[in-house]
Amino acid sequence: MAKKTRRKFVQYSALAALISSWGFTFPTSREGFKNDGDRSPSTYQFSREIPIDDSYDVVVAGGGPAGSAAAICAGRLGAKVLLLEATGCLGGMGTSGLVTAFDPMSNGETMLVGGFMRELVDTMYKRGFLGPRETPEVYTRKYHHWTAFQAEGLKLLLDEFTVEAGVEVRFFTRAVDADVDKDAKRVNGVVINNVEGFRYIKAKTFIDCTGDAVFADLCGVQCREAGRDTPKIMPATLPSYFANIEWENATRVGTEHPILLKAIEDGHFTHTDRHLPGMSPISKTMGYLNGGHVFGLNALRCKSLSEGMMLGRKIAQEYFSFFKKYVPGFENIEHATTASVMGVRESRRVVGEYELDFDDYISKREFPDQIGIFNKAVDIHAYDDSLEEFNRYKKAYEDTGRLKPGEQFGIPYAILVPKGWSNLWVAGRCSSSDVKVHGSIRVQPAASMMGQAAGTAAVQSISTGQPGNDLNTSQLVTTLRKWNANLPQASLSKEMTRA
Amino acid sequence: MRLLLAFLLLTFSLVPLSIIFGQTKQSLDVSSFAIEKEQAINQSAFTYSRTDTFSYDLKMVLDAKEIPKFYYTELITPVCETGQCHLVAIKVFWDLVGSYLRFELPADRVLTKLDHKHFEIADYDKLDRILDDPQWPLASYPLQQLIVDSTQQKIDDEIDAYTGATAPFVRKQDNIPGALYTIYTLWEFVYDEFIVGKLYNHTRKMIAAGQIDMEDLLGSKNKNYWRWAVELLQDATVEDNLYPYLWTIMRKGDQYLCYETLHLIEVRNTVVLRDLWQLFQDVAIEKKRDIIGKMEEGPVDDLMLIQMLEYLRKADDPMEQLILKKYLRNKKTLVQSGGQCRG
Repeated sequence: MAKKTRRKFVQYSALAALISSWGFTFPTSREGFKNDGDRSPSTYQFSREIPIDDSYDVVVAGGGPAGSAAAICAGRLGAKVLLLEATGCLGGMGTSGLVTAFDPMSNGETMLVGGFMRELVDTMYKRGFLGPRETPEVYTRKYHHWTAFQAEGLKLLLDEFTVEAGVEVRFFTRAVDADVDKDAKRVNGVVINNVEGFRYIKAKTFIDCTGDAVFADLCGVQCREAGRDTPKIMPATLPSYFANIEWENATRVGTEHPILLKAIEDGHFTHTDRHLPGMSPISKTMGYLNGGHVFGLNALRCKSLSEGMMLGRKIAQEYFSFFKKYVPGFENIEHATTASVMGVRESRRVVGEYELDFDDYISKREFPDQIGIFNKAVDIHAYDDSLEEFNRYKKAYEDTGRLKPGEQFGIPYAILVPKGWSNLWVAGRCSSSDVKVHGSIRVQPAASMMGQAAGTAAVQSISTGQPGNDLNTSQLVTTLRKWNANLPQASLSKEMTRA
Repeated sequence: MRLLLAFLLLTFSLVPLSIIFGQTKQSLDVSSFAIEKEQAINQSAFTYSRTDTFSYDLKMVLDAKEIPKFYYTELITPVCETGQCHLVAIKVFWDLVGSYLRFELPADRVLTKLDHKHFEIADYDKLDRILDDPQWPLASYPLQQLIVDSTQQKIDDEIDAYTGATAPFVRKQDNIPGALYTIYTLWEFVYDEFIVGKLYNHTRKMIAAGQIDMEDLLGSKNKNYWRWAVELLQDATVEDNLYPYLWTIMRKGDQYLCYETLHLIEVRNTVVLRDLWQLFQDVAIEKKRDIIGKMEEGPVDDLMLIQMLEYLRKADDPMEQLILKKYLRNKKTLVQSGGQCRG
């Protein structure tokens, strides 16, 4: 490590969470910051000398489905890659979040998801990491099918793939500031924090896969925030793992199931939540529960997130006793664990070179620069537990937001590029789309496809000198196809899609 | 010309469905569905009760040499059209591991659509294709969502059956207009987990009892049998006489079956190692990583390493390059460290 010193001046939200934890106050003057009446409007100036660490071709912030794919694919292409992950494992929502079911990857006729994600799920099947009812015939063909898997298997495979690709992974590490040339809209470096303290890392390219666009926000990229730029925030869920389930005799209880409605009527739950995605088998005796909405949680406010985690654990106990008491086959279940991170559905989206919107979705638009195709329904969960809101959700989900079997829409490269930025990409949940399409592409398989494209684009940018916001997308698509991405567009274009 | 066309249509419509859907002969494979009493032994496998009202005998058919061929049942199920209900009688056939083979109608019976229109030949063909698709897209919807403006008709306390106009999102290729309820009911029956599971277990018992030979399964043209045989062999000793079948299965089967089959291969010498290397060169990219993984278990073979380097120089697929480089790097490390016996 180069032992140089460098003065770094950080203000506003860059170290907000960290400083807050030390008992300092921080500014709250940002537009739209709500529920902050109890905070002081004062400012603390934070400056210190920190070591400059190694430099890289690509730094990826966030090791979830998008970040893992971005890092591994960039590494396979020969880049020197650093992957930063805030927890102790890769996989994000699929591991720490215990959202252990991949959303639909087929359109009922053919597997849409190719490339790294396809390789991953196929390898998980072969290694016995998918649920006992999952087979390739099902996950490559079945319409509207969620593919259950085991979190531990995904962790292991991502570890193996990153090592094999030569990716350097730093766990328990967060990006806490960005060194940016604001006029050129170019990122020079990132300040990271972990058990060693602060480090400055220089890189040629950066990919934000934090889910919340944390790094892009630090860079000053224009973002849209749920709850600030939208009237409401989609609820989060804290999933659980349960053990000792008799799957052979188990009754499948989901949304509006009579057993669920009976329990609600009995006053079993704190919320009258009729929407229950349900329990999925991940092994012969274990199940993953995606159940229990935490309404009103704001994932961009630490207080709200912390309170939500506590409420989520309380709600999980209610579902535990519900299954045990009411549902056949679950009489002997044991509650193994809740997730260690919240299953956030909506937080921040960047404003990209293109914003994928519902018209694109419903018209099944094919883009010359598309880097993935997808079919998943627009899935915007009810914003509260009222019957009116539930009916609104149900009608929207069933009537307007579902592509038919055999159909798909394209995910263009341009939604990964923050508007005007040349060496920064954003992949996964925080990419550029409207609220409705976000309700489809916010999930793991789509995030992985975006990650692979971002990692590949970053390497192309380095090797050709093409800036990210003026990348030859024909070349990009050709490379992705070589790596088995399923990109059936008939015509390619050197130019990305723009608004 | 019209007379010729009419003659052809009439001739075709008289061809028994068993011939239309016939298959080629193999030892365990189905050569004919005609169940002639003097040639076939109907062995009742078990009785399946769907409701208190209806139950079905599921039968296994053996040939004259008492080799099991397939299962079938004669299904009778209610279907209600607008204002009127009737029973549909149909024979459904499964192979020995519970995969759908075909259907057949009893003599003088036809399937009908709304307004009592009879199925046409093309409709029977489409029904066969739909029943042959375990992932039929409409199966993921509740029937109520598929039918709009329906006239509900109660037939008894157990079953509500109705037909009507289909929802606008139902595609032509997934449906026979006017017969959705019939298709839906039959599809659910064909893929009923209870039935399929019972068939599967029944065959498994016959294998355990030596009534079905493993070589016959591996040598069959039915890939479902390959998968099953490979699964059963995971806990058994694989004799040398089975190896030729395994190489064929790894070449012709899909990547998942290839992966499972690789577990059965013991890389005990350079001959097997070189066979694996040849296999690597012959198959699609999806299988190559697993084959290389298996080769890692084998000895180091200098001649093969030279061939691999030459192959790598010409390789165009980036994934292929990646996994070959990794293998060669590992072997180089092993040779340098003296960590493994040289083959």
